[in-house]
Amino acid sequence: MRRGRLMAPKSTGEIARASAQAIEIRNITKRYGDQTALRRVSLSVEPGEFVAILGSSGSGKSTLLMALAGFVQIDEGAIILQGRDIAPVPANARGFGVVFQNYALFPHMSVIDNVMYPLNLRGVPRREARARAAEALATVKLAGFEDRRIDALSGGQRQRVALARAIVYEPAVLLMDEPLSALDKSLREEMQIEIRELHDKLNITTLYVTHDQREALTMADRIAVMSRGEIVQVDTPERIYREPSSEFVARFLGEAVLFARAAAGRLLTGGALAESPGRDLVMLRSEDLRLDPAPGEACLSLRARVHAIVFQGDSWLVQLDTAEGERFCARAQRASAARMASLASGDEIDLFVRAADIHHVRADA
Amino acid sequence: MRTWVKPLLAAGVCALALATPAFAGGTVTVLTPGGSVKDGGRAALWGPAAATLGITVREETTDEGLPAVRLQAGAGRVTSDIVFLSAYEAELGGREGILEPIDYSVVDKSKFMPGTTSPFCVGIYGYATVLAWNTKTYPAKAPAGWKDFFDTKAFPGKRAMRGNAETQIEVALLGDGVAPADLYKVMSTDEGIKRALDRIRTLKPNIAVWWSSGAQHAQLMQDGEVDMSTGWNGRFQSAKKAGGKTDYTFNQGILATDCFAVPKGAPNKELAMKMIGAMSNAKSQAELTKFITYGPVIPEAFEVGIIPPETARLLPTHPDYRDRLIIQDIGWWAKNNDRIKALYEDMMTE
Amino acid sequence: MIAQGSDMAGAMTAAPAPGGEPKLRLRRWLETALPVAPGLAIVFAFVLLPCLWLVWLSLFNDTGQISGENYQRIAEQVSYRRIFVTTFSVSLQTVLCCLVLGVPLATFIVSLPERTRALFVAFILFPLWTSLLVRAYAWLVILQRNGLINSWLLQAGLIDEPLPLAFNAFATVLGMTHIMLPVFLLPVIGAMSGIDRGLMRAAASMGASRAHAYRTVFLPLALPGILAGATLVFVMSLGFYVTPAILGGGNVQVISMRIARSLSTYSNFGAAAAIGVVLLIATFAMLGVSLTLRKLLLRR
Repeated sequence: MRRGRLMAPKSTGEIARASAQAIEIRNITKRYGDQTALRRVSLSVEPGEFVAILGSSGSGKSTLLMALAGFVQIDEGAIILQGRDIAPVPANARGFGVVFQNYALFPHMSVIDNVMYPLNLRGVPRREARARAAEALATVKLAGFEDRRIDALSGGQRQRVALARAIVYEPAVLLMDEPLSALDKSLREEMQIEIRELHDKLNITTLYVTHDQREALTMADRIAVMSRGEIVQVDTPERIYREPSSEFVARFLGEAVLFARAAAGRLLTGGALAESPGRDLVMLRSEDLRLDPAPGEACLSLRARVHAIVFQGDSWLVQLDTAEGERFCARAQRASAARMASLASGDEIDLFVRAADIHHVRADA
Repeated sequence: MRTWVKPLLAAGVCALALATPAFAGGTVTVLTPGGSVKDGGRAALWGPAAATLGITVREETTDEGLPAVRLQAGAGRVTSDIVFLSAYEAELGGREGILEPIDYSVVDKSKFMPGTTSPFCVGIYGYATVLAWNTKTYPAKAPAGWKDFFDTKAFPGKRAMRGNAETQIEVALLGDGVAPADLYKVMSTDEGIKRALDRIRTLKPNIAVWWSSGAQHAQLMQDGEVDMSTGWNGRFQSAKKAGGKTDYTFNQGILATDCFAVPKGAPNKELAMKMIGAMSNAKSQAELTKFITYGPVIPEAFEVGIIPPETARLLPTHPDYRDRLIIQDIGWWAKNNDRIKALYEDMMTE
Repeated sequence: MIAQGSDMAGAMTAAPAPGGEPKLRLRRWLETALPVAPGLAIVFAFVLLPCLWLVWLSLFNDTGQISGENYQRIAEQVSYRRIFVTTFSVSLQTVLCCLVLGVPLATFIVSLPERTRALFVAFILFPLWTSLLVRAYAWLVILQRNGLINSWLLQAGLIDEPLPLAFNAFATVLGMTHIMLPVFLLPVIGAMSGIDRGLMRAAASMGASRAHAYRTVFLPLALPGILAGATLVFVMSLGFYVTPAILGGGNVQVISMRIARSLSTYSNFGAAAAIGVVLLIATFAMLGVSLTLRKLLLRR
């Protein structure tokens, strides 16, 4: 990304670091008939923060974003921006930038006209509007595409135009609804980094809806995991991965090995499990199971019988059964190829896990 | 001639054979518009005539008499011996050379009202273009003639005229004070035509509708949509009976006739002439009024005791009205129609 | 001919002998041509041939001689010019009425939920099944001097004299609009329901009011359908007969009435055909104008 372009003089209407706004969602509820799409959802977003809203389809994540954008009227609660409840403010007066899942570009306008649209609405003089739009396009690496037709663009290019159009008027808050879901994997990963860089540069408070845990982990400062209309956990990517508070979050992100507290007490040997009232499941990540104890660290061991060994490119997946017949998975890095080769189905082995990698989570109802 | 219309012949002419008792004397084919003309004709005209002559009649029907004759002539296969036409159509057909001149040695011309026979056709009945008015609009004094039709001061209100020059030029000039005797003399000059059109032009602000069919002008009167209209006596009689607020007068009515003609090259031409001669009698024309309330053009028909007096008074050729009627000069119209039609349409669309 | 790489074997077996290729080409051609042949034959037999026949007929005068008389008459007689002007003007007014009534109506209908929308479309289509004649007379009942409207207004004391509502261009345009509105609505609703609702949301998210988004996003995207509807209405209106004949009361003379009169009253096929040919040419000219307009409006 050409940082220099962003430092252009203010007079040309550059896209500056906008004065990022905090946004606070307080107990909002949305019902459709007897279905509750959002149930007392609260979320505080710091100025300039990038928060990913992660959930499977039907979890309410898109409803939450559309409520913020003003397209869904909430039944209860408040959305506080600059000390004011904007819940009654219509969508077109909220001043947010919104990037839609299907881009929602205007097919009858050229690229530059699409990006100029919000500026024209704000009465920006035509020449200035054009300059600012061109600048925004350059920011998303689409300089030179100004006069293209929308239908002549690839999916990735359309995504960039949508992004340029959403940031060109320097909104205080940027809302993105699964903006990358239609792109192929490699382009998606490239765009994830790019959008994150753009966010850092522009300092826009961003709410980003996705169903892709890796995307959320890659991009966000914090992740809000949603399930059945509720936010079940909000935390940094690392903490949410390492220390999920519930069985749902543990299963939703990454591969989790879960044992009931009592079973874990019997199966895990070589140390005592910590007490954690109210959290009756023991969770460890399958990649934290190792074939050898970690030197110099407190480890517990787990005896299991190998069921199957699967090579998955970057790692090996080993399916195992505990002595009590529970199946679980362990993941071994490619480096341990030699050890994997020596294993066979039916072998009884000892697996090790560092005491620090064992967490307690709440069982789902 | 237009030979490509040959294939249309079958579609254009709907032939309908009717079984009548067979006689030795031959067969004559009569082409009519069907309906009451056919039913009345069979009962009053060709039925008795065929019986007298001892011949058989075959009936054919068509909506369009003259076009059918044209098609037959064009195809070179004439099947009809006697056709039912308006006097105007017969005049055109005569000019086009697709009709036989009537043999007046077998048809007695002298029985007819003057102007109701022509070289190519023999009148069956007459109908008049008359003046009708709304009795509710003019309760005190009824209009008496075409002058009143154009007098919007004495008779304010909406008018309807025909969207076609034929008969309306006569109406305009009579309304402008031209004497019936001079009518076609005046119409034969450019000034006369201009005078007629100007007369209608001055009435235009009051003309709400240009009618195009008999059903329409009757309805306009019945609905009170216009206060005065030109139109056909039979239709106005129906409106008078139905609506109760329409009346009309035979004063200065313009009489036109429907008639029998013989297509050129008719297969039984001689017999057809004889047939027409046999149908042309007072009794037959009087009987026909039981089917169609149009006026017999043989004056004696009113004296043979067949037409009841109350019916007789509804017929335009009743002795009481005969002198007040103007018999339309069909020859004049056949000659001038194209030119007058264009001028009339120009005036209408101004 | 050099076949490439591993395709060579396949290519060689697919072309059995020299001279096999033209055969293949013929087969391909036949495969394309045969399915469209019946359609083309119908177009030729029922569209092209009658048109040519019409032109041929128009070259004969009423005595059967070849002459330009029929066209000369159209050029010289004033009433023909007026009738063409009236026909085009009435058609254009009908288009305008359809635009003014139809665009908001179509917008409303596409904004409805799916099932209600289907119901409304059915309502719109319903009048298409009723007779033109019946509808024209129904309007007459409403508009005429002693009709519903005038009776009410007179009774209410709002007017002293009946208003001249029937037997004029107003009544004609009203009646024609009534008939043509469904024809206009169908392509417009089609175009409008194809518009992504998300675009209106996107416009709103950028700050556009409903009206502004409608004007700058929705209408331009509906424009192809609107133009198609308007063109359809215009061209179909040029041929109207029953409605202007009844509701115009002879005060609105349109081309089709003149054609009918030439045929039925005067049996003049040549004159009628010539009017038809001129109308056909004028209609094509209008289609050309409409297509050019479409190109100009949809460029950008």
